[in-house]
Amino acid sequence: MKKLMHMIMLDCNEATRLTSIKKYKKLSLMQRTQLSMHLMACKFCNQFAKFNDVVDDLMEQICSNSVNEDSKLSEKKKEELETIIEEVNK
Amino acid sequence: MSQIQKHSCEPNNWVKLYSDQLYRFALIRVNNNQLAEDLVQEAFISALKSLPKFKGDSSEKTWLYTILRNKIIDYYRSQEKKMASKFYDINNEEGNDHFFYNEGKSSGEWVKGHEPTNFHEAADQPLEREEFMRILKVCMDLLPFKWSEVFRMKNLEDFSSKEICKELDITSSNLWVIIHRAKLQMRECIKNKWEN
Repeated sequence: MKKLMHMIMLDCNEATRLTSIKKYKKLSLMQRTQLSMHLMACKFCNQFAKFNDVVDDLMEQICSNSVNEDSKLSEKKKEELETIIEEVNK
Repeated sequence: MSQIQKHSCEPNNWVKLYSDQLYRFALIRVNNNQLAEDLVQEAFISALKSLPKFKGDSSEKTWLYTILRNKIIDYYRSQEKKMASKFYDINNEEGNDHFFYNEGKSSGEWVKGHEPTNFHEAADQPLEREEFMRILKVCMDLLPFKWSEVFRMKNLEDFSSKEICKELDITSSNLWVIIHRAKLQMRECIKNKWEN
């Protein structure tokens, strides 16, 4: 029985792995079941999962705030670059 | 016949045609306007210097992107050396030993002292949220380039996992290892900075 439990239950290393990648990869039904069983029983991995959700959300915000379609090189820099190219390419 | 396929290179048109695109490419990856501008400039200078080596096998646009990408990687390498960060090599099989016991009865369990706590709840508090975001940004920048690029590519450009692997030249199992380790390292980094 203990052996069987061991096969079904994930360890914390594997549980945090599945938690970390679940936004990027669809987990199998077996993996999802194993993960939720582990998270119910393990308060540490449960905290990690909550941390993971917070960070995934915030990272998305940080990334989308940092740059958009309208981000352009400044005119001053463009002029500088034109001059450099002209000089070197004489 | 093969001569017809060769691409030409017109430096005088670079600023007009590519500077904004290259700038965005850099900005996505370094998250800093001034630095992104400097990297574009360095890339142009390198390209001009190696102009005689341009064989026309790829388009000048692709060629410029490759040069810029190498400049960004060089920048991150120099930063990593400077900070001597404790991030683990992706190829190191024992990379998670820091967080999980790898043998004995507790194998796979959290190493004592590294068990997660609820410090991330601060992100829900309006007053503390800004500080939490600031620390998260710092910790993202501390990740090795390939690691943070995974998140930027995913979150910003919505690349599929397959495309990410192709651009970064890694296998999909490597990608999952990178994401797992990056998350563990980020938690450790944020926790340390938050508590000190």
